[in-house]
Amino acid sequence: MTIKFPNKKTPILYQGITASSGSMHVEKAIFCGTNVVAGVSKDKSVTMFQNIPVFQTVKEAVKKTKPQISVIFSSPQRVLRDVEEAAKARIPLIICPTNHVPYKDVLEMKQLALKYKVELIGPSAPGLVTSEQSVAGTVPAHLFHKGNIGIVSRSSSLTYETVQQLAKFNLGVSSCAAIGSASILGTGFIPIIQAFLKDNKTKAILIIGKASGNFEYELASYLKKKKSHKKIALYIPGRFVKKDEKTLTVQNKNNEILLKEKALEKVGVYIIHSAGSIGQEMQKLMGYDEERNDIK
Amino acid sequence: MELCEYQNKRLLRENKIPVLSGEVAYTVEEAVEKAEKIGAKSWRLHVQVPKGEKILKYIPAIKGSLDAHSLKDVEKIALDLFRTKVITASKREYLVQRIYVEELCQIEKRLSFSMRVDTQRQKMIFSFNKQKNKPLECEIPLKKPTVLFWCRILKMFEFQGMQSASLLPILKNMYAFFMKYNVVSIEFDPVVLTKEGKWIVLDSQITFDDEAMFLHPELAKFREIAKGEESQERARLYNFRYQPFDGNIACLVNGSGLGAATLDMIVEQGGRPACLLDVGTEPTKESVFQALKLALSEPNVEGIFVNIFGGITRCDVIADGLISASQEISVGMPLIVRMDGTNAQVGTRLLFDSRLPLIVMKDFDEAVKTVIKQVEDLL
Repeated sequence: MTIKFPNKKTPILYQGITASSGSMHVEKAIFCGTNVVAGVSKDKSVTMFQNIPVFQTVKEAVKKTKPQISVIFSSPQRVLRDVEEAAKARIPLIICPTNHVPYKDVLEMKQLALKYKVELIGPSAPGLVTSEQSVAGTVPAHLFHKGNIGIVSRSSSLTYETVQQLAKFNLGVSSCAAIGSASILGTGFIPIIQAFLKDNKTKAILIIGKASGNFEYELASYLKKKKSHKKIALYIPGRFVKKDEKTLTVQNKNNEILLKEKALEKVGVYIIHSAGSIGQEMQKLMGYDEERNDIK
Repeated sequence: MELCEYQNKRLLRENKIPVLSGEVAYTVEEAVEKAEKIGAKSWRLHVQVPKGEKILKYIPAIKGSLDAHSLKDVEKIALDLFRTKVITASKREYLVQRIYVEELCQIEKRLSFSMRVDTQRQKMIFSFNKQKNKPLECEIPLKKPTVLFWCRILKMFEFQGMQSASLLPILKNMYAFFMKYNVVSIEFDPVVLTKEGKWIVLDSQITFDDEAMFLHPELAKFREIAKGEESQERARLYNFRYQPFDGNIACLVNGSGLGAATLDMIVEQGGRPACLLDVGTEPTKESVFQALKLALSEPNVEGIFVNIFGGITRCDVIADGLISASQEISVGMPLIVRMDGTNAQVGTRLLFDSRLPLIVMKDFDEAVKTVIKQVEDLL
């Protein structure tokens, strides 16, 4: 199943709207123009939050407001139950920013998502943003400017850092999906890349990967079968950091990252080697694209 | 999280997994007393270290075996052990303070198997390992396993020419244990068939999920700090992550991806990181304060690089934490703070106004160059 990035009109539900981090991020989302249609809170005394109706159950919220996305603000203790509630109500896209969720609970969430045919981004995921339109999650939308680059990332702060760097080179972002850094996650790279390939605003895709996990390999075998007509670039941080090793040197590279880069390079992905040069390299990549269009 | 051998075995016993009788002892007299209480004819003495690590070496070396065939033997071996130092598999050194006295059994057959959460494949896996050949594996269901699942597992054993039905109770209880305690990996190595025809788990390695400790406060209280991990433990207490290296520049960042990129940049430019302190994406003033304090207390640190990109993180919170830490302890080394993103201007203002001896910069690349140069100039 592919994912639909939110736009100005996409109705979004925020579960845990009255929790401290929940209310903060909802306020930010509304400020950025997000169409927040409902909230869910276990606090029975709350029925409205900033002119948004607050319900006690997801089921009721879905019946009355039909949200396309649910963002869940919850503690590690109860996040599994909240995800289950959203999945049972068949909200097609669930975003879960909660950190420090036990492995077993994440595995259970993944199974629930599969069972109810919904897409789960996270846990530990900052979420989705479409520049100057809508934000679902904890991504700081005020840093994003309109443009043609789609970003999918396993990182949070590094993503925002990258967005700032792109802005210095007059490059903007169409949409961005920060899918989380935890070892076990719901959605991987593929559904997001599929969405970018269909998205008219996106001309090039930037992937910020991670040394651990299998997502890069999965994407490599996907791209081998289905060639991408858009340019894709990849950066993986931590190339000199190895597990249980204390000496970091330029010569001593992390083999795991090299293997991932090789696998993706083989299927036509452009590799960026340094965090400091992402902006420059993306400009180069986009530049080539324009040249080719000129010749046409 | 890992526990000591004796704690693991107690847990296993409580969960109906057969282990030999044994007791922990803190003195020679206690060892003899416990041996008598167990009531076997012979015993083996196991030194207990934090995390249940394997012991590689005894200093001075122990003459003879750790098997005792009389209470006299127990006394003699215990006396020797309490005078030695041990070196563990991960090269940690401990004085012997605890011994586990366990009855000895005669072994007919041995094998090993494990259950684990495989983060690469994002699944739970059972694997059966006969003499360390290529293991046979199968996925473990999350919810109540079916008869079919147990049949498949037993087939694995039969495939190796083994009568396996008698192993079923151990396997079922192992699964129950795996699920009940949020175990990341549990390995029974070896499981032995005794002369009396009983299957017994002789040794086990268990890793519990750190993130699930709120579900198991009864286990969390057994947590022990391994030698050389005092700083990591301190970091855990104050909600940040600490990773040591052998260089001289401490890096304080918000977020693991940014941290990895920061280390890359420093190494590329010829610097050597001393440690990574990651306060995460929603740090408090307290965690920043404690992280900087920890960096300042490390003997190999000669310069500090704070690299913050404010997303959800507010730069003014970071600035507050930095200021209160450097007011408490004098920094006395180059401190370069690079701040950008949410509330960066407010944070920078606060740092300027504090009149502390630090440099605030906005550009990542330039800040890295500056910190490396300043540290080099010191030498």
